[in-house]
Amino acid sequence: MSSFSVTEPSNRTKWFAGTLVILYAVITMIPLVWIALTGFKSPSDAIAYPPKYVIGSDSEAGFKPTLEGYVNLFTTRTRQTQEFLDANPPENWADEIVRQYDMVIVGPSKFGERFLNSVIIGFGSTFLSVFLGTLAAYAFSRFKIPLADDLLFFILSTRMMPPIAVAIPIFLMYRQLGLSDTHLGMILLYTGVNISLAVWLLKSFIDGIPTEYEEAALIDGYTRFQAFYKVVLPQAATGIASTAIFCLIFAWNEYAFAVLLTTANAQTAPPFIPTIIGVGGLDWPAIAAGVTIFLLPVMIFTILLRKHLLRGITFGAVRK
Amino acid sequence: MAIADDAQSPSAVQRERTQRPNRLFKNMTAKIASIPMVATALVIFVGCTVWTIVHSFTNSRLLPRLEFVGFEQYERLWETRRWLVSIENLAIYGVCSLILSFVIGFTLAALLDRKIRGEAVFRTIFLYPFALSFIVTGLVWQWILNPQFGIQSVVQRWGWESFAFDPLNNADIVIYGILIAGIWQGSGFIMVLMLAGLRGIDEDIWKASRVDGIPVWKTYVVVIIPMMRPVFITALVIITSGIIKVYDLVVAQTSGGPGIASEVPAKYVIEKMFQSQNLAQGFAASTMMLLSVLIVLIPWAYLEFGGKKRG
Repeated sequence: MSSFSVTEPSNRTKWFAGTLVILYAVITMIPLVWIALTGFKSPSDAIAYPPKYVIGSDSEAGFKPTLEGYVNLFTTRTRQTQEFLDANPPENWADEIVRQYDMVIVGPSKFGERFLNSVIIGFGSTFLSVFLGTLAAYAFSRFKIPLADDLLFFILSTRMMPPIAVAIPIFLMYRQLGLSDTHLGMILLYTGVNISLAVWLLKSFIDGIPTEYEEAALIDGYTRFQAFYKVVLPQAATGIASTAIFCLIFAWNEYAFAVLLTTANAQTAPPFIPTIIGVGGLDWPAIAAGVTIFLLPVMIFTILLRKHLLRGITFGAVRK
Repeated sequence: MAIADDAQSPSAVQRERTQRPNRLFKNMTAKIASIPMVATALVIFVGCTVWTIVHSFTNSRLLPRLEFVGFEQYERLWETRRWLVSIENLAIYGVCSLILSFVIGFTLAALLDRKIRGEAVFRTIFLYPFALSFIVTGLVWQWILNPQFGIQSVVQRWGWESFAFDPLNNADIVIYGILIAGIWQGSGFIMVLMLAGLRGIDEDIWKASRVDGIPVWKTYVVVIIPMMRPVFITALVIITSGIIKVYDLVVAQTSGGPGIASEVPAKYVIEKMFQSQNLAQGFAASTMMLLSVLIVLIPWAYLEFGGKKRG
C-alpha cells in the first residue's frame, strides 16, 4: 500500500491525526501489556491498590518480578506442616518459590497437557485443512467443475453459521463413532470448519499463478500431479502460509465445540484458562501467565504474516 | 489424487492430448480432489442443520425423538424471560457494536490515511486483537473492569476520587461492559478493512472535490462512503455473523451474570441442550439464530455474487 488517497495533508492535520492514532494504539496495547506484566507479579502485587506497573523499582508503583504465576500455572501444590518443610529442603527453584507459602509442589497441573492438546489439535487440523484445501483449490482453479462458483460460495457461507446449530448432531455422531473427546475427532471437526475458508483463499492465490508453467511441464512429460507438486506448489507458498495462519487462529481459539465435545482427554487450552480462577481463589498471576503463553504462538504468526492477514479475515474480499 | 495419477503415470499426458475422454471421466482427478471439502460441507453443515431444524418441532428432552408437536417449542421460547433478555442483550450489543466499531474503524482509517509515519506498524497493532481468543479478551477485560484493581482504581488514584465505573457488577449496564471488550477486539479489523477500501479509491476524485471546494468531511460522507459500499457490506456481514454467535466473550467475562442480566442467545441454546436436558427447546432457539444469520447472508450473497455475474 504505497499510494495514499488524500493528496498532501497539511502538517497540522498530520500531527492531529498522528496523535489520535497513537492514542488508539495505546488503548489497544494496554490490556495485553498489563496481562503480560501481571504474569510476573506475586498474587498480592497483582491485586495491590494502587496498581503496580514498574518492574523492579522500589517506589510505590514498583513490583519485584517473580515466576510465581508461571509456577502456579504448571503445578499443583499442597499445604504442608512446618516439620515436613524443615525435614525436606526444596528440590529446585520452583519448589523454593512455593515454600514461602508453606506449600510443596505435588505434581504438574493440567495446563501443560491442555496446551499440548491445543498444539496437536491446532496444528494437526491446520495441516489437514491446508493439505486437502490446496488439492481442492487447485482442482477448482484449473478444471471446469459444474457450478463451481455457487458451490464455493455456498460452502464458504457455512462457516458463518452459528456452530451450536450443528453441535448436537455432531455430538451424537461422534459418540456413535467413538470420536468424542479424542484428538482425531477434534482435528476432523476443525478441519471441516476450516476447509471452506482454506479452499476459498487458496483458490484466489492459485488463480493468480499463470498456467503457462504447468502447461510447459505437462508437455515435457510431467504428470498432472508432478506439475502441481513441482511447479504450482512452490509458487503458492505465500498463499499456503497465510491460509495456514487463519486455520490455526480458528482452531487455536475455538471454544464452544471444545467445551461441548471434550471433557478430559482432548480438551484444549481455551476451556481450561477460565477455570484457573477456581483453583485456590482468584489466582490472577497464574491466569495471566496462562494467557500469555497461550497467546504467544498466534501473536508470533500474526506478526510474521501481517501482510497477508487482511486477505484471510475478509474471506479474500480485500486483496491488498 | 496422487494414487489416481501414479497408476496411469507414464501415458497420462499422451492420453490427455490424444484421446478425448468422456464427460464424466474428464476431470476425474479434479472431482476426486474436491470431494473431501464438498462432502464435509454437505454432510456436516447442511445435514446437521436440517436435522436440528427438524428436531426443533419435536418434544425431545434428554434424547432426540421424532414426536412432532408443531410450533410449541417456539411458542414456549418466546414466552421465556431468559430468552427475551438474551435477545434484548444481543440487540443492544449488536447495534451498539456495529455503530461504534464502524465509526471508530472508519475514523481511524481516515486518520491513518493522512500519510502517518509507521503506518504498517499501526495497522498490525490495530489488527492483532482480532487474532485473539474471545476467552482471552473476556478475561483481560474482566480484569480491567474490576473495580478493585482495574480502570476505576487507577482513575481514583490519579485524583478523581468519586470516579465510579463498575459495569460488570451492575445488571443495568453489564452488557455495555461486554460491549467495550467486543469493540476493542473488532474495530481494528474494520479499520484495516476501511483503509484498504480508501486506498482503492481513485486519487482524481480527491483532486476533483478539492477543485470544486468541497470540504473534506463532506467529500467523505457524500462521495467516498457511497463508493466504498462493497467494503462496508463485507465488513457488515463478517461482523454481524460474528455478533450473532457471541458466546465465549460473555462466558469469560460475566458467565451471563449478574443474575441473567448478560445472557446471550448462544448461551441459552447451549444451556438448554447440555445442562437442562431440554434439547428441542435448544434446537428451536438455534433455529432462530440460523434464521437471523441467513437474513444477513442472503442479501450479501446477492449483492456480492449475483451482481458480479451480471456485470
